[in-house]
Amino acid sequence: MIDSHSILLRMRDVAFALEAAGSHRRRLNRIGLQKFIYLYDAVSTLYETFPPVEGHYTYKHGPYDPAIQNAVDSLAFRGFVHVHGVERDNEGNVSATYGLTASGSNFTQELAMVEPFQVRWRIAVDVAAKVNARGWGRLKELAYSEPTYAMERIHGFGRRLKPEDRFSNSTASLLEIFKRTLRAGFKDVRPSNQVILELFFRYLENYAHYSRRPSISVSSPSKGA
Amino acid sequence: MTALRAGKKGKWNENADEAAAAFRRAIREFGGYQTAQDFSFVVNRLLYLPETRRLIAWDTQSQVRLLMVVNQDAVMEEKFRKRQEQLRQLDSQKRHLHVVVGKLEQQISTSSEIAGYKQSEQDRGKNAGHETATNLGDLVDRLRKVARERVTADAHMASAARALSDVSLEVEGLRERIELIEATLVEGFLSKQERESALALHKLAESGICPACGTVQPELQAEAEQRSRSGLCMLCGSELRFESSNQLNTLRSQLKEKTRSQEAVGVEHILASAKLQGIIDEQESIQTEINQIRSEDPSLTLLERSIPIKSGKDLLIQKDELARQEADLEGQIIELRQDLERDYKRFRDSIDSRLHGLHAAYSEYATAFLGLSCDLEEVPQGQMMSLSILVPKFGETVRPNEESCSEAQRFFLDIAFRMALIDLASDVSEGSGTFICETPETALDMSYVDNVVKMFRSFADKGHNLILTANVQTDGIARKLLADIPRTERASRVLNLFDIGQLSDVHRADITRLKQAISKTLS
Repeated sequence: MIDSHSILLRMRDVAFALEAAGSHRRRLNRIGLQKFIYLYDAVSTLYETFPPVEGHYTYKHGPYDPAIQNAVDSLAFRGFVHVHGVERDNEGNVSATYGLTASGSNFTQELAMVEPFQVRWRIAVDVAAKVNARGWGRLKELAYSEPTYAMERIHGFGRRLKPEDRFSNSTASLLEIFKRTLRAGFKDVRPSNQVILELFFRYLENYAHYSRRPSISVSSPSKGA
Repeated sequence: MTALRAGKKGKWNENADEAAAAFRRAIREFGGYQTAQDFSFVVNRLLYLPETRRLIAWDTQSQVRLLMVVNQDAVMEEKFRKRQEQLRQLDSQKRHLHVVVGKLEQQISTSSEIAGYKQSEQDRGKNAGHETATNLGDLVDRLRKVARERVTADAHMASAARALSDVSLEVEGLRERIELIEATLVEGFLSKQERESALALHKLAESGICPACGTVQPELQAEAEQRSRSGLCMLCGSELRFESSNQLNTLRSQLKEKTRSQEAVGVEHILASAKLQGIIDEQESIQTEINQIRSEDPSLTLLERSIPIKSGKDLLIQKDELARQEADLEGQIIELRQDLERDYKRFRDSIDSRLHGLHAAYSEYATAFLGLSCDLEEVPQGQMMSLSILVPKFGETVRPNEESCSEAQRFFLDIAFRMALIDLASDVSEGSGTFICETPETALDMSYVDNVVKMFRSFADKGHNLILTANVQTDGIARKLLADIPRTERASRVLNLFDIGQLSDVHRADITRLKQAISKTLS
């Protein structure tokens, strides 16, 4: 059973994700929401913060955290989220897109101004800008290219994903490499988060591009980071 | 075994061989054991703790074997044990050869004939056989040196991994506490917005309107208000207010500090890992050279060649041969030891998540007994090779051997370890286990009786069976353990040996008092 505090934290993340995507006139569906929040969690160490301890696992359609779906459903029930275009396919899977209601938007803006959550709101804005620049249709392949997921997916479903773990083949260690490389040879130079984030998204794009090519195996662990 | 009957309705098979074979088959098929010996080992060394008190908590061989038997889906324990035996035999052969070589050296050093021969050998240059011996000897010397370095590097690596794991746990703990505060804040903003926008849950609290059907429900409203005041979800009663935000800044700066030390420890870990890898590579490369020499020189496959010693020259040749064989054996020993250590590490890695469960169960039992936090710590042990085993750690001190604990501590910590292993085995097999212990209280100070009862009760609460023997005592473990069982059922949980056993004269003389004590225990 998922703890109520994990769902509350994901309510915050869902609100930030929907607001950030909404600022680019985009609504996220179930899978898009999972992928967006996965990338937003993955880069959190760059902003010196951490994603929730109980986070994503490998699952059928990529990284998955059940608390996110529970959070968005609860927000919809409480009147903070609109559910659009609900459809059921032949296999019984329900699809829908989500957007914030006026109350949801007020809640998000208030939350974004509170000191403990300002950084997470910043991450949502930055990640949304990077995804928007590449096209929201590519959200899934970008999330699939994240090093931790690319490493773990070959081991099957239900594997805990810790992209914030700096001591494994993860986004956190990749971001650290970018940071150190950019600093090398320069005294007192601190590369901005924007530059590092851009490099990271270029890496994801390239990874996605090369892993689509038949001659390169996606499942090779050495392609992680 | 003389006869076997499967089930109450089955017929006795009195053919000893057939009975033994049927028993082995039943152990394999129904018990899931590889061999009947494994079953016997588990019963005699894990499930049953007799008064002889043969402990397993610090016994490397027993601990390794039990871990492997319990997790036999992850490892072939029998094969591992046979290779350990092979290692022991090789080591014994090497020691034997070493003694023989020593004796030959002594003979050579006192022989004047050989002194002249050695001089002429040196003058002529070394022959091919001697050269091989020297090469092999040099390589084994290098291998020995590298193996020693590896032990140090392994220990350094293990200590760096432990330090990283400790600091990572602290980081995770702080993150969890911060999350609780943040979740409380999020709920606060949700409620505020619900109030301001007059959303469904606010209407429930304010006007009693059910958020699902829209009718007015005063009882639901009263309950919702009550829950809301207590920081719970209005509908289901889940906790929504966890920690106040006063501590947030302090926790955040603690997290920052811990993250920095995690980074420093992480760098140590990376360096230790790189150094260890370098040593492993070097060790493997030397081993390959040794194997190459071995494959090119068939004489090395013979352990001892009996060359009739006729002269001083024969003595020298014999000594060189044996020295070469000793060096070769040492090479084989190092290789086999390295293989076994690697296999054991792989096995331990593969059952990592199960070991977390073992740690948690042990900590629960051992802490209940000691009354202070106690966990398992991994330490390298073993004479022939380094196999890490789990030993208790409490009061900030690792207890690497029995002597580091008092008598009662070592006995009950051993019981805690056994019960944690039974938990683990039950999880793996999806069943429950049984622990049998003879007179546990005889090793116990009366101040610890309640703690022991708590420990046993928590084991039994998991659905396991507990069979304990006890001497007649009015205020011992038995009475306190039975206290939780309904009075009417207590007698059925006790097998009174005074009713069925052979009484001594002393017992017979005191039977009235003994029966009174038993009845007090059951009352």
